[in-house]
Amino acid sequence: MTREEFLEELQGMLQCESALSADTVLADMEEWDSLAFMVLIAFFDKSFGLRVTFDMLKKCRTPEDLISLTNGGVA
Amino acid sequence: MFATLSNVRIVAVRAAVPSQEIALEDEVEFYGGSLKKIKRLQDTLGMCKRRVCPADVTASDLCAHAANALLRECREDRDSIDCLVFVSQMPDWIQPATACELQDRLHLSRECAAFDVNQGCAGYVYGLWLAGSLVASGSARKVLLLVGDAQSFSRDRANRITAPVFGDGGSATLLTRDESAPPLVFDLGTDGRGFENIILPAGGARIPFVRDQQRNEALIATHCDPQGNPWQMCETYMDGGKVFNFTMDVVPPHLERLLQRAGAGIDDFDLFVFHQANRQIVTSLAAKAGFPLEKTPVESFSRYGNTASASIPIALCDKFGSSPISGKMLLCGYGIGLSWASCICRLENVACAPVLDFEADPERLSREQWISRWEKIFKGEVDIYD
Repeated sequence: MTREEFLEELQGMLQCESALSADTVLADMEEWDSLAFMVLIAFFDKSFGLRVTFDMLKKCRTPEDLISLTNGGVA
Repeated sequence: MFATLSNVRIVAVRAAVPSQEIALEDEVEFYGGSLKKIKRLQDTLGMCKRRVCPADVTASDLCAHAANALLRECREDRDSIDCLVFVSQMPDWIQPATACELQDRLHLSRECAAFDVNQGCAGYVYGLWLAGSLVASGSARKVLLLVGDAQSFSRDRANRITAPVFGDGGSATLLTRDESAPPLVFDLGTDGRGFENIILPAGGARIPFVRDQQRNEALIATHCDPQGNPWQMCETYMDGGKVFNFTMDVVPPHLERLLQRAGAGIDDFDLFVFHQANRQIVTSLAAKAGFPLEKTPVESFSRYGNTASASIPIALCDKFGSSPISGKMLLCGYGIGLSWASCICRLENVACAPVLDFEADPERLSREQWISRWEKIFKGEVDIYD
């Protein structure tokens, strides 16, 4: 998956109106909540075969941090 | 643990819910007026509606309604029930077992054994395992299994972690001895390290309600979490993230183990009925386990909410309606405990009905009447059973 594709997927999952960049501050978005975590956990599992937890996601500050969690799954 | 039970037939199932419905849209005030947040909850979790009991109606009332319908419609002789098991997290009484009063309310025989089991979201499968074990061992010929939960009355509606998720529901299932019945195959497990992930802290012996008014104040004091959700020790607490992590970690390997030990393949099944925690959890579990989504019902969560122990029988009644239930099924419950339990069964013509709307028994006392009854009993003004 490319970075652009990942950011588009992320925007769709969060159902936010404005496009995301790799350095958008997630905590500033009202959509960055436990609902988003649940969707992302399923997405990481399906797309990258990776098991992430609520705590791992909570520690992510930006989409760039989420990309790092994919262990090279996003290039 | 793994178990195979023989000679047990599941004969009939009924489910009942209160008629009052709350839709998420009715509660936009709790989302700061954000319809967008409500839409996200509907789209991602399938959270739409739930049923809530009026103040004087309990889980045992819903279960009794389902049981009366079952016994009447299946023309079962009430004297033939050997054992009544009531599985719930919210019994009517701390003492005695609510099943004892239910024996009388349902006009069952005095030769009938009756007891309660404290289990939640895994409770329906736990109940099938326990009731099935009694039948398989020859200890009882016919067991009436009542499973349900109704805790809306105790929840603060402003708490958005618990209040909108859980609905009230009850069920009744009849199991009987039958040498020609296909086997029931179970796997059950527990991880007590997570006992505080879903818990009602106060009211038991560890943090009891006591005569000391001042100490009780602490039990009903409200504390808000960082998101502003109000919590009290006399209400159920849940850490949704931890429970989700547990579910995704534990349930898929548990299902894989069960299928392997039972020698069953995914293609053998007609239906995978998960506890309806929410749509996201059910679809994530099904995807992880490799179960086809078209064989995994999720609709009943949107109609009735997460009805805890009653959600599997409600999903079955919701799916089959008046048609008899037949087919190879996998039933899977997981949650409070933390507990998990699954059952592989081939159901054959199980008598079913659409989910019933509860109708109040006009003879039943209201909460206020129960309180005044007790005041009178203490003063010697009312006679109790002699």
